[in-house]
This record gives sequence, structure tokens and C-alpha cells, in this order.
Amino acid sequence: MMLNRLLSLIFLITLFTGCEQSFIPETKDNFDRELMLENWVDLHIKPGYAQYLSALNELAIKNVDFKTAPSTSTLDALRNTYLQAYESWQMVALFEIGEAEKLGMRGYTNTYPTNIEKVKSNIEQQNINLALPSTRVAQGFPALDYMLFDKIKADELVEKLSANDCSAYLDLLISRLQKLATQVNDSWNVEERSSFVQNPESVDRMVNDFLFYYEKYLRAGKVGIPAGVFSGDPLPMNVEAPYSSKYSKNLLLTALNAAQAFFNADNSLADYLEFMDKGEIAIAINNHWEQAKRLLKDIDPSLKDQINENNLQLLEVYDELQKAVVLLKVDMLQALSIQVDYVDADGD
Amino acid sequence: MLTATNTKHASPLATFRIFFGLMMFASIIRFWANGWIEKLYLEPSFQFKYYGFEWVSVPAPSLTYGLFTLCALSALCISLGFKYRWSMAIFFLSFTYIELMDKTTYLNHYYFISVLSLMMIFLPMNRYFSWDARNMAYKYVPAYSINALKILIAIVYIYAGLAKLNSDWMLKAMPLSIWLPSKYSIPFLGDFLHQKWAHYFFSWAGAIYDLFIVFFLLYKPTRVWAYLTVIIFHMLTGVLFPIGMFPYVMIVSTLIFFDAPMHQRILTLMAKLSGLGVHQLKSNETWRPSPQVKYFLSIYLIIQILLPLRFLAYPGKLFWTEQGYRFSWRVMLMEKAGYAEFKVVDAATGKSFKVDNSDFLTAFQEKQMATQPDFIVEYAHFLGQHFTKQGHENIEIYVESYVALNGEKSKPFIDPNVNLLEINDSFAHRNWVLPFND
Repeated sequence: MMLNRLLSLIFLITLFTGCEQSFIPETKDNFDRELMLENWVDLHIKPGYAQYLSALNELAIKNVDFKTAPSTSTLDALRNTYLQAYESWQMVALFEIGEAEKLGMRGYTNTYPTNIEKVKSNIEQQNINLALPSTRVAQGFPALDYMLFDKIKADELVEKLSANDCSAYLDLLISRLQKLATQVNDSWNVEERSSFVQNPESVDRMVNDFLFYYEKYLRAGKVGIPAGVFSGDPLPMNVEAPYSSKYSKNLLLTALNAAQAFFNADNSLADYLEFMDKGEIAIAINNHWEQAKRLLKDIDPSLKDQINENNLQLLEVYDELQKAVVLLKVDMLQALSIQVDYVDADGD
Repeated sequence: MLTATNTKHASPLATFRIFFGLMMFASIIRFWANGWIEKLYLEPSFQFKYYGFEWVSVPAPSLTYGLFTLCALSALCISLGFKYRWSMAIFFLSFTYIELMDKTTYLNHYYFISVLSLMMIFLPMNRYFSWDARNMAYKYVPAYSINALKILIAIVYIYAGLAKLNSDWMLKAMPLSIWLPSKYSIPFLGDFLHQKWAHYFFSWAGAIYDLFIVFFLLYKPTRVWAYLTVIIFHMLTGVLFPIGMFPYVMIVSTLIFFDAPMHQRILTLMAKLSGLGVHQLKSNETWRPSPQVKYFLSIYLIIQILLPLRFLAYPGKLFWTEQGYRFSWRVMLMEKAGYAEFKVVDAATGKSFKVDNSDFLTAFQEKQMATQPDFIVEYAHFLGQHFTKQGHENIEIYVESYVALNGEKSKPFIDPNVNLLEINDSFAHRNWVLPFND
């Protein structure tokens, strides 16, 4: 008796839902997240890595040039390509997702401050396995920065770097960067792209990774930590690229511009907020970034020198970057209903 | 209902016991299999404690796993009705201890299990169709022992419904307007979860369901339809939200509203399938518990009715201060996101530095901490101890915190000029939480 009633009800429900499905018009007024993901891959991630990889290849060529004809001019050319590669890196550092995440690319490419003692001992020992996590502090751009901008006379440095041990380590550092970049660049093939674009979790992941990068590596790593926000006393040698020194502000600006471009890109997060009637959040975030960039205009090209001369000015930049963190992590995540962590525990 | 002297058939209690035990066993196994014992209890180096239960701590890893094993085994024993009272008591204690280890993981569902299992210790759930009753079964139990379960379920639903009667939920369809659109990938439903009418529909339907479902379950002519609604409602919430086993627990628990004949049919089927034989079900005895049980249950349920009302004693917006928020069946009621950055100041020199929360908390703990005042103070005290131990002197701790509630713009949350080390959180009004200003 009851079973009959139950069955008839289930039948009714199926009928009802079946009908409803065909009644609902095919209006797609949802925000097109798939398009957002496609744009991220096609317009930012893939071109970014391609550009980065070719900059590294250029660096490798100039390294060979220097080796075959060591001179201050070939060293200058090597230094220039180093800087260009470092800048290209800032454009992709925010995409630690997929293969890059698996490899821990950011850790091997840009862990600073570099450990000078370790770099020296690696140069002596030769044939170091740079895939070991313990070697992260002695490789990547920070190690190159130390080696290429050693504070000794130019001709002495040419001699030092062209010696067999140093030359071998330079080769090793550059080929390691190339290897990582190639692996990540190759991973964004057709299958990877489509599985990323079609996975509904990709938006949450990408945004979480982006915010993690922005908060930890851009805000804290490039500005907060050297300015002493987390230690009480400033740590000028903890800036990015402290040996070449005069490039550090530029690296920060490049990274900030890359983050902003990602945020404001066509059909990206700013548009998504706009779609959710929360455009004012995107405007507020951009205002803080623009203000940070305005303040950066009066800052020394060398963040190290700036910290030593007038740290308060850099702390003002930090404050603007920090205000954006609150808007990104609190207001934006809530507006887009993106979970802030990966703990898949139950809610209630 | 509790004072009635009449007796009822014992079969509803038996099915309730069997399903409850199985559900709890499955829940523990699922929790374990998901790696949550490790992630939620063993990995964090710091735990947030409940007021009055600061002494509860996470035991050594092997003991923690032992605790979960004990909990799972007692759940199986409950299902079998094996040494029922002991099993129930052990289950209640182990389950509740686990919940008390870290309030980061607080869920109303878990609290419901604790409240329910404490009460079940005193109910004659094992007098019929159980191991304990293998030689001597009792066919009848006092009606109040079944009614007590119904009342507890009624409390949960009705308070959950009353809590929804606020302007955010009813007039702004918040927080469902935030949550539902992100479920776009769910087949069929996903297509219209973006639409405003759907947010209002789900908000209003949820409130009406919670407020009235118990009455439709109590009233015989509507019971079957009400129960089908229970199934649809909970399965739907299960699809839409990450709420684990809870939908199944409620679907099974609400079977208690059905009369004995249906339960007898379930038990007969179980008896046949398990090969136990139907003779287990034959008895004409009436179980007469000690009269104190009745009084205990009455007081217990009255406390359960009063406890959710304690928020009335506090000024300010409940969602903002959260004083009186927990233990009150406020389920899926608000969307709160926060950010809290702590500053450690040397009072003598004025020097200061900020704390990287990820040095001490997991992402989940940090998320919970940033929106709940009691967590913030507790964490600040922990930081005070930590940095004092590290040799810092004259420490003061301040927090710069922002919280966004139900899609409103984020606002300053805790008074940034208050040295949190001077705050001792208690049941008193928290004047160090900045006002919400709607």
C-alpha cells in the first residue's frame, strides 16, 4: 500500500523534473567561467611561459658567448639577458598550478636570499644535483644574481666567472632553469588545457593560488619581509636581487603589473565581480594597486638602498598592497563564493 | 508528552538504534578514510579550546586513532544492541571528546550527535530486537521514551526554522544568493542556480520546511508526504552543500515519527535477512524503567529548549558578535569571511612586527579564527605565550581584522587599539568587538 504510493510519487517526480527540464529556456546568463579559464590559459599562461622560455634560451646563448670570449662586454650582455629573463619570470611566477606546482617551480627558480656559502661550496664541488630541495637556496635567479654581480672589479669578475668551476656552475644554473621552464611549458598541451578548462574546480584553485602568490611572494616576499614588517627590524639583504641591486624595484613593478593584468584581463576576475554586481570591489582593489604604483615612483630603483635610506616610504607601499589583500581575500572571495582553503571538511 | 503513563510498541526505538549505530559507524569510517583525523587533529600544532574544556587535548597519534576506533566499535555495538548502555556511554564520551579537541571543527551536526547520544544512554533502545534482549525482550516501552526523541528532533528543526526568520535570509535571500551561483556545475540544477527567484525560492522553502515539517510528520494523514519531503529536502541539501553524512542521519532519524507497524515490518525484514528469525520479535512484556529517567529527560529537554535562547541576553548583532550563536541550530545561516593580522608590540620600545598566521595555524583554522571573536582572543593569548617564551619582553598584541558578512563590504571587526592580552574572554558582553552598524 505504502510502497504503491511511494512508487507513484517517484513516478510523478520524474515526470515533473523531466518536463521542467524541457521548459527551461536555454538562456546562458551565467558568467562564462569556461571562457575565463580559456583566457587565462591562452592569453596569460601559455604566452607567458613561451616568452619566459625564449628569454632563458637567450640567456643560455649569451652564457655561451661569454664563455667563448670572456670580456666585460660579453658579461654585460649576459647580465642584460639575465635581467630580461628575470622580468619574464615575474610574468609567470603567479601561475604555480599544474605541472609548475608539482615541480615546485617557484621554489627552485626564485628562493631568496640565496645562501652564498652554499653557492660557493656548490661551485667547488661541481656536479651538484639541483633537483634536491636542500639546494633551492643556492640556485635560480638569486644565485645568478650573486654570481653575475659579485662586488669585485669588472676584469677580475670576468676572470673569475670564466674559470672552469664557476663557468660550469653557471651552465648548471641556467640549464636547470631551462629544464623547469621547458617541462612546464610543454605541460600546457591540448589535453592539459582542456582538462584544466573543463574542471569546475579550476577557478577556485587558480584564484587560491593567485592570492597565495600575491600575499606571500609579492606583498610579503618582495616588500614586507625586507621592510621588516614581520621581524621588527628591516632586512635589506632580503630584497629580490640584492647584488645587482638597482633592478629590484623594477622586478616588483613587473610582478605587480602582471598580477593586475591577470585580474583585469578580458572576462577575468574584475569582470566576474562586475557580473556579480560587485564591480566596486574590483575598483577598490585597482585603486590600491594604482596608489602603490604612484608611491613606487618616488622610490629608489634599489629597494635595498631605499630601505637603508627611508624605510617608511616603502612601508607605505606595503600598506597599499596589504589593503588589497583584505579586499581580495575577504570581499572578492565572498562575492564569488570561492573557498579560501582546500580542506574539504564538512560544513553545516 | 513526557508525563503520559501509556506505553508504546518498542519497535521504533529498535530501528532507530540500529540505523543510528550504522550511520555513526559509517561516519567515523568516512572521516578516517578522508584523512581528516590526520588533517584536522594531528597536523595542526595548535588547537582552539571550548570554554571550560581547555583541559581536553589531542592525544598522541596512536591514541587518537585508538579513540576513533573505540568510537567506531561502540557505534557498531549500539547497532547490535550489545551491552547497549555501556556502548552508548562510551560512544557519547569518545565522540564528544573528539569534538572538544578543537572547536575549529564545530558543526551543529556533531553537536546534535552529542546531545542525542547523551540522551539515548537513558532510553530503553535495547529492550527489543537486540543482543541484550536475546533472552528477554520487552515489546512495550513507556511512550515518553519515543516522544523524547521526537521532541529533540522537533527542537532542532524548529529552532533552525526560527533562526531563518531574519531580514537577510527572508528579504535578501542571503547567504544563498552567494552560495548557489557557485554550484553552477551541478547537472540540471546548476543552470538556474544563478537566478534570483531560485535564491528566494530555496530560502523561503527552507524556512517553511524547517518550521513546519515536524507538525506534518506528527499528523498521520500527512506523514508519508512529509517524509518524502524530508528525503527530497535533505538529498537536495546534500547535493548543494558539503554536509557529509548529515542528510542521511536526518532521513533515518525522522523515521521515528512513523507508528510501530512500519517499524515492525522493517525489523521483520531485517530478522529474515540476517537469519536471526522472527522469534526475536515475540514478547508481551512491558519495560518499566526507574521513575527518575522521566524527570531527567524532562529537565534535559527543557535545557535544550532554553539554551538556544541565550543570545537574547546580549546586545549587538548576533551574526557579528556570535555571542550565543553556537549550540543553537543556526545551520547554514550566514556567509562570513575574514582576515586578521596580528601585531606584536614591545611596549617598552614601541617596536613591532606582524605575525604570519600560517606559521601556527592551518588554512582551515585561520579561516575560522578570522571571523570569530573568541578564536581571535585565544590565538592572541597563544601568540603572547609563544613570543614571551622566545625571549620577547613587555609584549602587547593587537589585531587588524576585517570581516565581510553576507556579501556586505568588509568592515573592521575587532578594536585595533585593544591589547588582546588584557582581554579575558568570558560570557560577558564583548565590548572589544566593534559595532556592526547595519
